[in-house]
This record gives sequence, structure tokens and C-alpha cells, in this order.
Amino acid sequence: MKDFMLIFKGTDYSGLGLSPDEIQAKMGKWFVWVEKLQQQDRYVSGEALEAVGKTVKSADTVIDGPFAETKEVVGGYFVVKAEDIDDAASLCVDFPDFDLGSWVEVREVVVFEG
Amino acid sequence: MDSRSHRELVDHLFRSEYGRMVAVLTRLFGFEQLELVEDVVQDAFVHALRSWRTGVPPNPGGWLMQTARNRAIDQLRRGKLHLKFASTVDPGAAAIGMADLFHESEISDSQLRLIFACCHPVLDERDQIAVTLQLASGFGVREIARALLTREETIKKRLQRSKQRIKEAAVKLEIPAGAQLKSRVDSVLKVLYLTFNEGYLASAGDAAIRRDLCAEAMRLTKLVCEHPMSISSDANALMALMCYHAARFDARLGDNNELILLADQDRSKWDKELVSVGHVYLARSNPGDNPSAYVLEAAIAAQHSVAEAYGDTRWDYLLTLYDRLVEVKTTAFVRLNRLVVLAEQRGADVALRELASLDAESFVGNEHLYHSVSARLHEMAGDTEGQRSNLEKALSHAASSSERRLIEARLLSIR
Repeated sequence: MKDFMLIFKGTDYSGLGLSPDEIQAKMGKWFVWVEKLQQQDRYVSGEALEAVGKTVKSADTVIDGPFAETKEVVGGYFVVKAEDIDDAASLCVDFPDFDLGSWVEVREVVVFEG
Repeated sequence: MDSRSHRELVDHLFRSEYGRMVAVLTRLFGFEQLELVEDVVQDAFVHALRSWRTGVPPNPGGWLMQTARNRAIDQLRRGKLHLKFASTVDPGAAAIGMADLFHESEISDSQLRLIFACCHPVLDERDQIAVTLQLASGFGVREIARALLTREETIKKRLQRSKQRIKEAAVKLEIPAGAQLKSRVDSVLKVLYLTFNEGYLASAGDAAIRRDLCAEAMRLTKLVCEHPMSISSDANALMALMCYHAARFDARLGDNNELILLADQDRSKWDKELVSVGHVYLARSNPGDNPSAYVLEAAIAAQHSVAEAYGDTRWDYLLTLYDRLVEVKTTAFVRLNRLVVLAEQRGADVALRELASLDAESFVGNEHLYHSVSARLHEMAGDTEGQRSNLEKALSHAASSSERRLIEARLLSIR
């Protein structure tokens, strides 16, 4: 098994008019997905990212952004174990935010031999 | 702690926390900054959604309130929110200090102020219901629309218009004093009564959201009953009424979501615990010689709740209660319901004669109820033809599938 990073991209949740109940239901779907990955011993780690930040273009160019309004903001990532890239991609069928127009970028974590 | 329990959240936790958070923060920042407060609260939920993926904090409600509070302070620092000071300050909020506002008793107090503000007379009844559901109960636009069987667009407009009015009229977050108190309590109770009925009576739509609507109405009514300013005979009676009805929630729907009439309900399915809670509140309502409509309706529901079987119903008591109810609440529905009791007590012929004096036109939109009662009275009088023709008329007017199924089943039983 190798490590793969699942990078969550798309819209931030704000500005979608989600009600408290809808947000809670959405959270329930995340719990189910994480639990499933953990039970299959696939889940390694993960983090969520704030939607706003800074972009450093060079040593003396630091600009604001990305902003929450950006449609391609990175919302977070999981590191999972999988046989190969197709296997890793298949773990994303339960990603809870497809309905909000978000998607997952699947990338293999490079292992440096040495 | 295993991973499962680590991730479980109480049903509708976010929804009920929403009402609490909006109540506390609007008290702190003033009702005129409602929009920013709503943003801050929404932001706290979104923050939770992102950061709880792999584990829920030990006290989720506290975490949310703390996060909203921190975000509000952040907005304060950036000059986007303003604390109310000097002449515009809410004297209560200033006197007890910010930290105290987050204590449980103050949160209840803030919630009650919010409900009272939502039921301010600048808004009409339908607007009051929608705004209360959104701000005090944390229902979203889609949920309000589903619960009230109204289009989303209509609800959205209604909420926008209401908030505009609240702003223009500078509605304060307070429980009014003196002469205004009684009339405002009346509005609050009316809104809660109507909200409960929306969930309980209408048989169309999504059953889960209707149950939520009833539960919310009961939660808010309980708040009203627990506050020294708003507690009243009517509030207790309304709470009792809701308990008696809610106790029958499951028994009145069959396996196929068809309505089951009181006479045919399996009374062992009634929630006895809720019925006894109802008795406690009804006893507290202590009405004196001039019982209000709430007290009478609760007393009527109590009579049904204590009858072991339909045949054991004390129709004599019920008729006395209905006779008094008709005096204080002369609606076509009350008069129609009274006729069923009258028929049981004095015979169907007496009731049919009175039915003739009821104006069928006052039932526009609910003709199926009029014809259903008429069919029942004809049945009791042994007039199968009259029963059939009225059931057919009722069927042609029935709005929901569960009503249609009920009427069809009765038609089948006489063929």
C-alpha cells in the first residue's frame, strides 16, 4: 500500500445558504466517510484549511488571497493508503461535497528512496 | 472513547444552538445588527463543519457558542460590529456584563426576548411565524417552506420584508412591560399555537419536518412557561394542549401514512408520559371562572386522553366544554367539531339540524372536513346514502393523499 493525498477543492461552504440542519447533515456524511476509511485501515491523517489566506509570490511580494469566494479554494486534505491511483480514486465515491460542486484531486505521495 | 461516540451529535443540535447563539449575540450587539450576527453564527457552523471531520469536541454546543463569540469579537475589532453603549445600550446587557450573558439562565432570557421581538406587532401573523422559525428555531428557508407548505421564494421574500420592517421600526429585544405585555404574550402564544397546528393538523408534506415543527413549538412554549414575566394561565394551558396532541402523534397515522380518526386509534400507542405532563400543565393553568379558549381546548383534549376507549368518552363533559368554547372562539371549525360531540350526546338528528345552520362557505379550502363531519353524522343517523354522497364530496376536496386514503377506506366500508 502506498500513500495518496486526497485534496478537497471547490467552493467554501459559506454563502450557500445552508441551514444549521443541513450543515449538521453534511457533517454526518463526513463522519460516515472518515469512519469507513478508518475501519478499512485506509485513513492516515487529514487537515482542514481556512478558506482565506495569503499568497507569497516572491520574497517581497505577499498578496491577499485566495478568498472564500474563489471557486477553486483548497478546503483540506486527507492522506490515505491505497494499492494504486485507481484504488485511491475509488475511495472518493463517498466524498460528501460533490452536491455542492466540490471535487477531489487524487495525488500519489512521492517516496524518496535513500 | 471509541470513534463512533466521538462523532455522534444530538439530533438538530445545530438548529437549537442557532436560536441560542442568535439570541445571545443580538442581545449583546443589538437587534439592528441582526444581519451581522447571523453571518457570525453561520460562520461558526461552517468552521465546525471543516474542523470536526475527524473528531467532535467534548462540548459541541459550548464550542459553537465560543467560536461565534470569538468571531463576533474579531468583527468588533475590525469595526464591522459595534457594541451598544451609552443611550442605545441594552441596560440589561450592560449591567450583567458580557461574560454573564453566556450563562444558562441568561441564554433562556435572551431567547425569550428574541421570540417576543419576532412577534412584534409591526409584523403580521404569517411573518411572525416565519421569522420566529428562522431566528429562534434555526430553521432554514427550505425547511420553513417545506414545513409551511409554501414556496421557498415566498418564504425568502417574507423573511427579507420582515427583517426590513424590524429594522425600520427599531424593534427592541425586550419583553415589553405594563399594558403591552399581555397583548405581546397573546401574540407569542398565538404564533406558537399556529406553528404547532401547522405541524400537527396538516397531513400533507413531509412527516419528519412536521414533527420537528411541533417539537419546536413545544420547546419555545416551555421557555415561555418557565419565565416569570411571560408565565400565564394561557401559556400553561397551551403547553398542556400541545402535550395531549403530541401524545397521539404516532397513533393517528397508519402504516401507509393514512390518517386514523380518534375513534379508531389504538389508544395503547398514546404516549402516557406526555399525557401526564399535559395534566401537570393543565393543573397549573388554574383558570378560574372564565376559562380562555386555550384552557377549554386543553380540557377537551384532556377528556379524550383519559378515556380508555372511544366508548368511554365522557360526551356530557365534552359538550359542556364545547358549549363554552363556542362562546369564546366562534370559528366554523369549533362549531363543526362541537357537532360531533353533540351527536354522540344528544343524537345525530339534533346535530344534523344544527349542521344545516352552519354556512358551508366558511370552510373554503377545508370543504373536505365539513363533508367528512356531515358524512359521520349521516352515518350515525343510519342514512347510508347521505353518508356516501358526503364522503364523495369530501373526497373531491381532499388535499393530501393521507386524507384521500382515509376517505376512500370509509367509502369502501359501506359498499
